[in-house]
Amino acid sequence: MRTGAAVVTGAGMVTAAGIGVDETWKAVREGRSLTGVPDRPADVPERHCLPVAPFGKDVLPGRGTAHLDPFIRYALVAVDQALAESGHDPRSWDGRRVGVVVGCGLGGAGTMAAAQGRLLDGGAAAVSPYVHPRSLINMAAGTVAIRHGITGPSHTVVAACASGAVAIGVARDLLRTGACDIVVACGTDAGVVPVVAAGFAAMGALSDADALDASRPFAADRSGFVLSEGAAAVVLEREEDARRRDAPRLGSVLGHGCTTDAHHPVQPHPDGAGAEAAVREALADARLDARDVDHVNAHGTSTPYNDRVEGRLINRVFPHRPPVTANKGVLGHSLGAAGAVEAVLTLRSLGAGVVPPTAHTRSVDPELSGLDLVTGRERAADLRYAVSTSLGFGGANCALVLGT
Amino acid sequence: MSENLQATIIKILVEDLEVDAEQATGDATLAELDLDSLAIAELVVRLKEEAGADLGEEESSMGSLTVSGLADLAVAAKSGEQAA
Repeated sequence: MRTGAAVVTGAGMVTAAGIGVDETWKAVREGRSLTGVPDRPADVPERHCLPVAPFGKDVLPGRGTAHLDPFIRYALVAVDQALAESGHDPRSWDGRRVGVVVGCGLGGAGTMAAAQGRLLDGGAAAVSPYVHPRSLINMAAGTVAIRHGITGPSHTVVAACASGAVAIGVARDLLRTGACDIVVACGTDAGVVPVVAAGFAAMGALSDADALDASRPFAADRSGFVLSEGAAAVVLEREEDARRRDAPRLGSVLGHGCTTDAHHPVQPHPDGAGAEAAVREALADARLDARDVDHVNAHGTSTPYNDRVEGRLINRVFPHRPPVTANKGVLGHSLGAAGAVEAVLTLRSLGAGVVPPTAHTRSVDPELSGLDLVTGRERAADLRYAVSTSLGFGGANCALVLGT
Repeated sequence: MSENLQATIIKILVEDLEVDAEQATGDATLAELDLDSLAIAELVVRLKEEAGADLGEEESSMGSLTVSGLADLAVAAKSGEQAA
């Protein structure tokens, strides 16, 4: 086993806040309330959702990209940006030493729903032969590989809302075992689709506040999550490789831990033991103590149940009360993308020495007293190490330890 | 009728299959436009939907057809259906 941190040498992002990491980071620092996309029909009546604004060939060039399911399009854009920043030229690299790991929760739900409509209207003959190539859950990884000549492993990890974080963890492991020299990790999902939203609404998981400030992580008056979508990607390399080629250094992935609750299909275990174990495993992997952690970027979905279990777990594991934020206040919940989006934003926090505010949360749930949740406006802080948590349906827990 | 169908085919080629608009002419063969068997199958589905021309199971032999040749074939398929 090789050891050593994985260095992040490039990052890219597409969210409801815009195209590119800078756009999203700016919105998150400001705690801005996003308005969604005007003229888009209501996905589920009375529910605030945050889709990504449509974009064209200027953002995503290349034949065969226009009609891919949006989850693939978002991934391609985020990976293009990450590779450009990393300085790698995929036309000249040894693609056998490069891998891609995509985390995704849903796959092409919108494409499949549209195909079902065509099937009902016109029978089997009306169904496009592109239904599967444009929507299968591993097609983001497959399409990224074709676009950039990646011929090493291409994995897709499906762990609901933890998928994006798990992808980064698996990518780090591919470097550590020596299987790859460069790994592109990406989280992506395009879940702002009526049937998806309706399903979450039926579970009682979506906020019933049809307002721009509906996503309120850890707030006393939170009522559920706001459905959103997007993608984020990072390029990971071993420390010595990144140094040798004088690559950009956006931060590092120091450790990760994955556990499973094995408790209930969708409810987190009430004592948060599985999630806590993921955090402790990630810290052990990074060879750090809980007291070394300067900042926690929480999963913080704004659902009553998740935030209570997670807030208590943060108080338990980190009694020194590091500042906590939850990016979903601004961005909503982008499902399989969220873990990767939040990892990239956490790296920005570490680099800038800034903890962004948890948007829309005015008073923290009194049951979570002790939680140092940054609200209102951003806070400057000296940050070296941070933990980002991601907790998904199916009891999937993942924690990342990130460093400067 | 053949001209109308050719216009429909070119629209599908450009909008759905992302063929460069300048290359999508009547003289170009489907193979020259880099349409693989999947793309040709998509073209057949869309032609049936938009023009009512059922080209059935002939996809595998269509690569060497020009766009105008395909339009003629579609016209024949439509009149055949009307006759039947």
